[in-house]
Amino acid sequence: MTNKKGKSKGSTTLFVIMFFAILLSGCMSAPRKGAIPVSVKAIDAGDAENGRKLFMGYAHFENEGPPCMGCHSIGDNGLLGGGNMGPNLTDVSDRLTQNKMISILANSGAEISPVMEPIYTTHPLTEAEQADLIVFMTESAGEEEVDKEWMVFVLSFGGVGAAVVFFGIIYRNRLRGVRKTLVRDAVRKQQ
Amino acid sequence: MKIRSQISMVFHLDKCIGCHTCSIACKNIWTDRQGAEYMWWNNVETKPGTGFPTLWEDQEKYKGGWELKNGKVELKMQNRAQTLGNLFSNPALPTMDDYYEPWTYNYSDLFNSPLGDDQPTARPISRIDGKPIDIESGPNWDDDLSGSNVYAVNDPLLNDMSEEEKQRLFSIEQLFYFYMPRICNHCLNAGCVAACPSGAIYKRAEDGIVLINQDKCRGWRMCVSSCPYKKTFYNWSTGKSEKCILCYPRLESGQAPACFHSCVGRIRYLGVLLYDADQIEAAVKVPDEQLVQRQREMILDPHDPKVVAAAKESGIPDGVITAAQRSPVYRYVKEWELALPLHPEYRTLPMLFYVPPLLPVLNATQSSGTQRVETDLFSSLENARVPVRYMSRTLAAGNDELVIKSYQKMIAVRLYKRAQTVGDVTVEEANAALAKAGMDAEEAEAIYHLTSLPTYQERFMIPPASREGDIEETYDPQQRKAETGFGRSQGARRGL
Repeated sequence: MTNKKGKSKGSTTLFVIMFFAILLSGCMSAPRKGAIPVSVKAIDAGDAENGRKLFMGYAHFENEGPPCMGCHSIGDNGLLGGGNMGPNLTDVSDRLTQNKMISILANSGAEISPVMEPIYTTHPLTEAEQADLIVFMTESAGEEEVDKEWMVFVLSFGGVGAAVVFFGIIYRNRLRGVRKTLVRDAVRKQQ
Repeated sequence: MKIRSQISMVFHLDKCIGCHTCSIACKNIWTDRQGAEYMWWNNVETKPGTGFPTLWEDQEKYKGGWELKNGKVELKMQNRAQTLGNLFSNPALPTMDDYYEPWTYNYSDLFNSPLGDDQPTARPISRIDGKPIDIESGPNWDDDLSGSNVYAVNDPLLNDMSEEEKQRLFSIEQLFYFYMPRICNHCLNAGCVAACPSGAIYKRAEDGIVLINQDKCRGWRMCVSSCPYKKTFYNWSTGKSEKCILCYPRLESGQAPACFHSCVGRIRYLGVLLYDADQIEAAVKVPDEQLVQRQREMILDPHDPKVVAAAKESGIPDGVITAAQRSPVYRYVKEWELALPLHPEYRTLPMLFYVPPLLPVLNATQSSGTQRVETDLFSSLENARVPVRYMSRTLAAGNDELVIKSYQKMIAVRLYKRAQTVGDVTVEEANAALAKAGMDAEEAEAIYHLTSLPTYQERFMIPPASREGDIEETYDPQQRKAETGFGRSQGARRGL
């Protein structure tokens, strides 16, 4: 019995060591911290269409960073609109200089977003991606901002309502109380 | 021919006085536990009435039993795909109110209340949550036709009658009622067994008792819905379903089940029937009016040497065959054709049979103030208070002929004995009645004996259990003895 216990203890220790080893090795192979800021000259080579795809999440960032649309909105963002956590970026090129935009996207320079920094430090944007996004955001300036928040509510409540109706139809013939109905009918008959 | 043995039962309704002693005996032994308070594995109903749970006979609501659909017999409740779909939300369960909310009284209030001008009272409290309740119904709330404007008039078996006919039925001096004690029928084609998604319900091979394996049961409650007699119950405390076990621990030690043993009117008979299991499928596919006849044909004559030889070949022990030859159930069901199954139209082939109650005699007093018994009894069949139709819908799937035949025999036996002991019927009249019922004096005498004067051994022909013999080789008998009984060897991991 004691032998068995000792064995299981040993294997638990081994497991714990291996677990941490895997964790540590994961840290070591993590992407290089910080991104290389794109040079202002290279921006002209940016592709607005690819920038749109990256922003909306149709294309993946190379280092697996989350798409901008998770927090931001730009112009008309499709059915449900973009995120409301961060500022609306439709006219961002009017508000910020190109350098500031680069600084935020690359997490280095004068302007660093305290919210985006921890997210994109481990998943930095490549130079080409920065260029694509900046071109896309610059071209989007002047588009109409559309608030789609009401749509989220409509779909949520509508979905719940549809589910209630759907299951109501499926279980419409289920057995409800029998005896109480008899008593109620008898009382009604006597009145 | 695949012969199996089945422990079967006959309830002689003519003798039932509706005292509920059977129910109490059963409750005290088996269902006086937490989670089982509301269960009545044995209950006694007043007919006409709605029974327990309310309106259990209305299968349009409860979806119990089988249905004949395009030549196939299917569970009325759902097919297999629907079982899977409804697994987490069984749509056909009786509510607690349809059974009743079990209660007790706060007796300690009687002893602990402070001195005062008023008598202390014991308030009713729920046995589910312990809070005071207003009692609205009970397991026999419609006993002796009480609340008949709610319960008796809504008896599903009266639903083919007009309002006027119903009124006549419940008018003074036309009123009738009788008692219907019910336990699990231990069916040959049990709906509960077929519906169980866990495969926890099984029919014991040696005696046909239907049991729920408490270790395998997952509490889906499909058996509760698909048993048309509503004789499986869900235990809210253990999270498992339970049902009548025909007191198999008692049977195995040679005693009659508790409800049988305690029956005051001695209405209950128990014995072995041999049947041909190959015929089950064909027997449930015939039209309603042939169901009883077909079920009788399945039951084999244990005196027939061919049947005995085939039974031995099927591995039925000699002791069981001997018990089958002496079975009172065989005589009532097959030999005399007096006893009929309850609601054969559910197609579960129930193996509990009822001798219909002899109808109350019409009280049409003639000018002389007397009435001849013979004419009265025979006319009573046609002008009876209990319509034959009602009995045939209860016990013969609507086949009046079977019920009339059974009644004719019972009336003939009565006339025959009156001619002997009272003398207000002549021997010729008695003989005429016997001839009309298609029986001879010997049979009448035998029916009279088994009905009125049976001994304990004649009523309960319990086959010797061979379980000890089977078990000894692999299992320490002392250990077996200690572990036998109701309960689980492993506790439920969920539930309360």
